[in-house]
Parts: sequence; C-alpha cells; structure tokens
Amino acid sequence: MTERKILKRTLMTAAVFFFFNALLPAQTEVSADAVLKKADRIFELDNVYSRSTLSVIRSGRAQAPQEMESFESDAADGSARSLTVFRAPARVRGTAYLTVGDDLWIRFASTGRIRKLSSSAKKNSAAGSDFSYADMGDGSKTYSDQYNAVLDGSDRLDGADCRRLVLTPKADNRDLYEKLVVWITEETSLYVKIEYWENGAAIKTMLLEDYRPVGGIEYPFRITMRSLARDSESIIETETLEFGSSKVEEGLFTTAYLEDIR
Amino acid sequence: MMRRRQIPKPLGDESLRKSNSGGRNRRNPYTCRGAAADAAAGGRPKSHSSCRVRSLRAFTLFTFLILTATVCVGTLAAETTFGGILEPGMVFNIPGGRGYGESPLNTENWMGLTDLMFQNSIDLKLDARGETGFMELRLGVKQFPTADLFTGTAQIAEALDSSGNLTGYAAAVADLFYISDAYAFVLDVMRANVGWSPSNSVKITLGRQSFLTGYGYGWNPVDLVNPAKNPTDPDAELRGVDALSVRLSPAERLEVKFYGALPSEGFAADYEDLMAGTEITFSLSSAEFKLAGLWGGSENSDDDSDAYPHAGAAAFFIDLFGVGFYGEGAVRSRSRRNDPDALGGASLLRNGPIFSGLVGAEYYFAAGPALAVEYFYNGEGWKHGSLEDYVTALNGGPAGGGIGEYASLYTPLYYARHYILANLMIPWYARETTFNINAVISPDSGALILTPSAEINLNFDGTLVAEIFYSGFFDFNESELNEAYLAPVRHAVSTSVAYYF
Repeated sequence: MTERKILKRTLMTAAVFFFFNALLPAQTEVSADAVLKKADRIFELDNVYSRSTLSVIRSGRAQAPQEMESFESDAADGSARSLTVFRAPARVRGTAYLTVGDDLWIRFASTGRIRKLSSSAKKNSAAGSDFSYADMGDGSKTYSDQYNAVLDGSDRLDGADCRRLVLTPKADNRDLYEKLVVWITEETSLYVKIEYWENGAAIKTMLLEDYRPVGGIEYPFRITMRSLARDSESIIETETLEFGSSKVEEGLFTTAYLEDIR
Repeated sequence: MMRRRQIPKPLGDESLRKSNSGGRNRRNPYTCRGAAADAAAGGRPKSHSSCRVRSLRAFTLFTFLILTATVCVGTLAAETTFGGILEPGMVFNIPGGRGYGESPLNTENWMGLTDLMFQNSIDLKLDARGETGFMELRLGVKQFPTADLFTGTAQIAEALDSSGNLTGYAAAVADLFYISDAYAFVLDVMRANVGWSPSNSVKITLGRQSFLTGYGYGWNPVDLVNPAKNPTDPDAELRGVDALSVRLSPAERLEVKFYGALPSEGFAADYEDLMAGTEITFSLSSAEFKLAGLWGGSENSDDDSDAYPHAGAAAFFIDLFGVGFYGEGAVRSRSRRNDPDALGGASLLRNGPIFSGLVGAEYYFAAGPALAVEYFYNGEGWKHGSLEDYVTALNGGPAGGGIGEYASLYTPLYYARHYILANLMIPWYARETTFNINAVISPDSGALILTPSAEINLNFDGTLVAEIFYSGFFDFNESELNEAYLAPVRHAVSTSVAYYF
C-alpha cells in the first residue's frame, strides 16, 4: 500500500467519521422528539369525561377535598375545549370553568353570572392547589407541540429505567415554562415525573402514578404536584374516566350551557 | 402524562379574583341603605297613576303557578339538588361624635340605629332538571328589624305633627314592639322559574330569573333590566326579574336572548308597563362583545319617575398580553334617578339622553392575587348644583323633604358622576383564607369608601366559613355634599359564620 493510498484511506475514514459525527446530534434530537411524541399520545384522546377529587395538603394539613366533573373535546378547528364543574363541597358547588382555545369563562355559583376572564388567570393557582391552569389547561396541545426536546441521560425511578429529557419552549409564549425536565419510561413510554423550571430554578415536581389501561392507553389515575418552594402538595385522584364518552356533547362547550349548570 | 384538565379556583373562591360571601348581603344596611339594587332610581318603576300593584289575586295566582310547577318538575326531574347557606351574623356599628344623628338623612336618629345589630339569614336553593324541563328556586330568609322600623316611623310621625297630639306616640310604639320580638323574618323570592330546553341551542324560561350581565366588577351599565349591583359587595345575589325569556345559541360563539319583563315592584302591572329587551353576545379568540337594548314600557310626559327607561348598550372584553381590558356603555332615554328640586318640591325626572360608561382592566398574578381597576362615569349621578339642592332639602328636615322620597335618592356609589374602583384579592392558601380589599373614590363627591374583608375556612369539610367585613365611609372635604358625610353610619364591622349545605 502506498503512502498515497494510506493517506487516501485515512482521509476517507476521517470523512466518514466526521460525517456520522456531524449526524449524531441530529439523530439524538430526532430520538428525543420520538420519545416525547410517543409519550404524548396520551393527549391525543378525545371526548374525555372524568370525575376526580383534588386534595391539597399544606404544611401537613389536609384541606377540604374538592370533587370535579370534567368534559374535554377538541373543536372542529382543532382547538381544545374543556368544561370543569365543581360538585363538592357545597360552598363551591356549581362553580364552573369553560375553556375554548385560549379563552376562559367562569360561572359563579352564588349568582349564576357568567363572565369571561383574562388569560393571565390561567397562570393562577388552580383551585388553590399547586397546579396552575397552564399545567392543566391547554387540552390537546402536546409537549412535543410546544417544546423542543433533548435527551439528557437516564435514571431509574420507582424501579423503571427512564429517559431524562430537557424541554425548552419552541416559541416565546408566556404560558409556557422556562424549562421542563421529564422522565419517560424506556419500556412503556409513560411520563413518570416532570420538573418545572422558572427563573433558573426548579419550582415544582409532578409525579404520575397508578397507570391503568383505559381505551387502549395507559392513563395515570393519581397525579401529585409537589411544590419545591413551600411545604405543599396537591393530588388529583381520578375515580371515573371515559374516552370517547357519550357524556361529552357538543353543546357543553358554550357559555349558554354554563348558565344551565346547577 | 395526564389528559390535562381545568381545575377551578380555591375553595369558596368562586371568583378568581375576589372573596365571596355566597351571595349574601354582608354590608351594613344603613351605610349602603338597601343598596344599589334600589339605587339608581330609588328602585321605583315608572310612576304614573296606572302603574301600581292591583291586588293580591295576581300574587296568589303567581305563587300557585310557581309552586305547582315546582312540585311537578321536582317530582319528575331526573336530577334534583337542594342546598343553601345558614348564616348568623352581627353588625357592630361605630357611632360618630354625635352618635347616629350626624347625617341629615338620620337627624335625631330617625332610623333608630343602635350599636349592635343581629343579621341572620338563610338562603335556600332548589334545582330540578328533567330531560328537557327545569326549575330553579332561590329563597332568601332574612332578619328584619321590625321594631326599629315601626319605632322610627312613629318618631317621624311625631316630628311631623305640629299639633302636639302625637307627643309620646313614638315612645309608646317603641314600648309595644320592643317588649315583643324585635325582629321579624321576611321571605324574599330571589328566583323562581321554570323552563323548557328542547335542544342545546334553545332555552325558554318563565318566572323570576337573573339577567346579570356585563364585565365590570363594581358597576354594569350594560345590565339594563337587572337590579343594580352594590360595588362594595358585587357578588351578593340580587333578586331576579319576572320575565319570559328565550335564549338562542345559533352558533358556538353567538348567543341571542329575547325577553319580556315586568317592573320589579309588585306582581302586577298594566300592559303599558310591560318591557321588552334583547341581548346579543358574540366572541372571537381573546375577545367578547355584547349588545343590549331595552324598551322600558311606554313613556309619558306626566311620569314622575322611571326605573326602566328605553336604553341601548354595548360592552367589550379584550385580552391583551394576559391583561383583560373591558368597557361598557349605555344610553338611556332618561335618568332612572330623579334630580332634587331646587325649590324643595318633589324630585324631578330628568329626560335624556343619559350616558353612563365604564372602563376597566384586570390582571391575575401567578402567585394568586388578582387586581381590578375601574373608572365609572355615572350619567345619572348629580352635578354640584344638584348636590347642593339635595342637601338643602335634607336640611329642611321632615317638612322640607329631608326624609321619605328624598332619603330614597341617597344612593351611595351611584350618587355622584365619577367613581374609581380598585379591588385586590389576595388568597392565603396555606390557611384557606382570602383577603379582599376594595376601595372606591369619588373625586367629585369627595368620598372614599373602603371595604376590606377576610373569609376563613374553618373546617375540613369546607362547610363552615367565617367572614369579617369592614365598611368605612371617609370624606375628604367635610362637606355636606359628600356622600360619605351623608352616610347614616360611616364605620361598621360585620362578622358572620356561614354553614353551607
């Protein structure tokens, strides 16, 4: 083999190496997106009816559980719609929230008045809990729709091997968090933990547990949000969940229906 | 990851931004006197000779129909809910330097105000819903200071009697009533309606029903037929309007309502007093608009007051960068609130057009607090000259119109032309407590009305809620023209514990 041939082979080897090396980050991003999209399939469910209980525990002291009935469906144009009605305790019975896309309306139980609210209300604590409306709200918008994902490593959580992904917003949107760190099981592609970041620090952590098969999809029946800034956690326990439910009717997602709620 | 869902605000925090007493009236009844509900026009319907309640027959018939419908729908309904609020409370009035007789409205304490007042109430709610029919019943049982009322009336009669024949009359009446139960309870039918909803887009409702509408926190100029709100307690439940309404929802973001209604006084009226109105609401992404109109019955040149003038109104709500900007405007054919007569005679109906408008903004902070700021231009309020005429009449005492009709024209927070309101709601989640600070400034009247309050959840079930509410009227200028100066009680603290069932 001449020196020239050796040089040529070396250059080709180097070229191939650099070519694949250049491809490697792109492959990683594609892989992260694929992982995220697979986990996001839980958002693709439509016509969801649920009954659940929200419990808030602050400084070790449990507060009155709040019972909710929720209806969710996507509009023909793809915008998310949801209606949540409080059934208990008596003090808030009949309070209801309607979201259609980015719009939010409230029904006051005491007066029956229906009023539109500004979108900043979505960042408020939801029901006095550690969840915000941004955590709960945007319906059919998936994380892969809103965030760019990068694989950040792997961890073992609750006996399951998980991929750790870091998500950053695709666009400047005040409703989105500065950063999310999510853990998704390698084998089943289920979210098990989400860390929310604002102003350079993790502010709260969501744990998703008690996955059960519903409508062919694994769904977490217990979701816990723990504040990292104060001694507080909030738990949503789902009692009933129906996909493609006949209870979800088209007329529910109107302000006219809000007037009829009792 | 869960299928994300909406969750409402905290326990008892029905409004995202404000504390709520569950629809009960928590203000001092003497500082805000019967409230804005009666306020804008002294609460009187069109007042001409034929516009009066005729007989109890109509009342009896109406009651029978409502009760029959209640029983029928309630029995057949697939879903019936019953609930309510029991709320014992107490008001601590704080007298001024000269007791309770400082205000020209309460010279010599005509109202019989005392330091302590019990304020107990029961609200009952019954709803039933069948396949297409429904009914709604809201009853308010409230304590009424009967003895104070009769004693005050006797004092007025005695003061008006120049012959001296009634000397000692008031004391005798007081003795009579105070030895018996000093309070009676009155039953107020807040809502009593039945309806039919053959489809999601059509709803027909008959009976006493709410027409609350608008975006303003303290005032709603676009609300043409409903009783006006009290800006210091805007979440208090208001008595409904007797009406037949048809609501249509021809599209997802469009709603049209037509109604025919009766004046809110009594159970009968002449045909010419019947009213008709409409409201159209439509929304776009991040914006909502309302158009409203009211034909308030026939208007005659000899009318001496009119609570329901013809009116047209519009309102908007626009969300920009998370801040909600809203506005309302209404033009009425004449004022619902009469002007005082400079010569001391009966008050005068002011013909229009009369414009009232409101602009405001609201913002919700991520940590929980919410802020609303509003400016209200009250076209039905009085200018300086009218304020002077009014006070002159009041200072004339009973003979000069200082009580009776003129007293009913004292309508706090609908009194002057200009008002600025700021409301801050601060939730303290760790203690299940909500603080609400409400301040209204009337620059032309020279008054500041402060009404901070706190609601505290007392038990795990969330059924027991304590509330403390302060109502303070401050005047900037020590002028009799100031609406704070005229308040019979300027400072009061009310406390209550409500049980929700």
